[in-house]
Amino acid sequence: MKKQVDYKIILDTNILYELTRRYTGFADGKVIHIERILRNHCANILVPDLVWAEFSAAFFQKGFPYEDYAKWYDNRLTAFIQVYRTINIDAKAEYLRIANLNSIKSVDYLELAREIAAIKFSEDYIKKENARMLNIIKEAQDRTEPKSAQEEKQRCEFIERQEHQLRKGKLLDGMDAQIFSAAVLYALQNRERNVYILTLDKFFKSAASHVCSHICFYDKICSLLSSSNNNEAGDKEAVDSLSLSNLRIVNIWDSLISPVA
Amino acid sequence: MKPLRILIMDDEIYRGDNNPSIQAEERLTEMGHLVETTEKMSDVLSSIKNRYYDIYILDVDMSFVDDEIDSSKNSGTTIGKVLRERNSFYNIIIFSARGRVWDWFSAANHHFQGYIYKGGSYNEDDGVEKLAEHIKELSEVKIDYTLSMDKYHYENKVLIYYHPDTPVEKISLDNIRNILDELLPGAEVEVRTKLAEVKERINSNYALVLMFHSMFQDITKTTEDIKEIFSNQPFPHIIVGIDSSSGWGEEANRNTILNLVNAHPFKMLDLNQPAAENELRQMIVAALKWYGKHEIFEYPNEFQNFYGYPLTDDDLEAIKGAEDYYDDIEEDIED
Repeated sequence: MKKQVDYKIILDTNILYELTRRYTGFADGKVIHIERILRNHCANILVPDLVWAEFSAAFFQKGFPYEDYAKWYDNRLTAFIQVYRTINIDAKAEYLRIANLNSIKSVDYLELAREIAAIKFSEDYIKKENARMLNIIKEAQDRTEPKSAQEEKQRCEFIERQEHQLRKGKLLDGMDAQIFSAAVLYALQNRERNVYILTLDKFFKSAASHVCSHICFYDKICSLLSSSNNNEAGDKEAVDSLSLSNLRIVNIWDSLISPVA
Repeated sequence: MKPLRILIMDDEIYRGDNNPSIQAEERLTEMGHLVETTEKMSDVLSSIKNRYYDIYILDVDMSFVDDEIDSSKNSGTTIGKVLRERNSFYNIIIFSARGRVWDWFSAANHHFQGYIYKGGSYNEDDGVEKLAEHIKELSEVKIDYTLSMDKYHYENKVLIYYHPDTPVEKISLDNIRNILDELLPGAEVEVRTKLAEVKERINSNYALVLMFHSMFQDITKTTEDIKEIFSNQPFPHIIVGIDSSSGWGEEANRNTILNLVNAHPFKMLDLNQPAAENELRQMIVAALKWYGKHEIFEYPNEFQNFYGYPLTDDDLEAIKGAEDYYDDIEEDIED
């Protein structure tokens, strides 16, 4: 009999953003697929408090007309409630209180986040990403089949955005480092369990995956411990066997996260 | 007192000064509130997206006016239900001289803030004053918009109040136990026959509390007890089952039922319906879900041509922010 592997899926904020698309009346395949994933992995979903806070702030704290704030808030709340229902009630998600995540000795998620946020990526990685993006732009430029005016406009805007991203690249920005470091701590403390971060952000996926496979968290945590005042004998042993083989960063279309039958 | 924006819907509002809704409009305006009126159900639904109201006051029977929404199939309660399904935080009050059993139970089951009888032989109180009092109370309540992600952890225990008058042929203790066995296997079930015993025992360890009685005819004596028991919600939710046909029938039971509706149980079950057992099963399923303090219904598809969607594409852009915008075209290319 096939052994059931214990796992948890940590949601990134953009998954919640995408779910709101249903409440514009435009639920495309992506929204439907995310809803299916949430349903099929019901009770294995984790929503970090940081993610919920970032999502709430994006929803309620910007983009409002001063003259019609009450109605604006009311409409936003209507959609927000439904996302809450999808996550909390239908998917029976658990709330991951990041501040309550046990530290690995004295290293907590914020210390780790500061370290991760300051990481210098290797030249090789940056070159590879650059080549990948150039390739995407070239393919978009080479698309010559007949298009509607609307599609052509979208294609041009897409190329412009890609070129902009080439000049103003992003890796683990905003809350990414904090969400990622919380997932790292959670994965380190739940090594019997596979942990997935589900994201739609291709830069986050690529950069965090690179960090997972190229940065030794054992070294990282040891170096933080050695600089800490709470460095006790035995800390080294405590982190000696730390490995991150159970943490993966996945996109909604990755087979790892495909809805189970 | 904070001035509230109030919408009154009544099909006869423009037809004579004696209409209680007109009197209510005057009374509430005197109190300093900003009151608007409409005679059509479709106007209420069309207003949802662009007009904000703190309180909706709805008449039940809307058959006097021609409307795009068919009044032979829909009533003010239908409109309240759609409003509630769209937003768990709306304040909805039924203000009506009519309404049937379905309307009364539906008002309770969709958590309307009140069901006030306009007046007449079943109610000695002045409906308009009662409404004004209710609005005053609502204006003093601070709405808590918190949607907690924390779950309610309860023990596998259920408290049942089963009054000896409960029509056993409509719902028996065995029926209830069978449903609980199915939905809460192994649950410890405690049965009580006196309200005082329920009041003494109720606490947040129970998964839920089920209360059955033929009609709570003595509700005027027991209102305080019932309110105190209900005030424990949502830890745990309380489901009340009564028989609308008991005694002299549903019209004679109106006041008792409306008193219960206005005491706000989580769900109210009419035992006088063929599918009572199945309905109870669904109510228990809903009660065991965790919504925080507000039950969240599925987004309504009914009448969507009137109320539309809450968000626009511009909202979506603003929510996501330009940097988070990912590209379908790129995924297409990468495929």
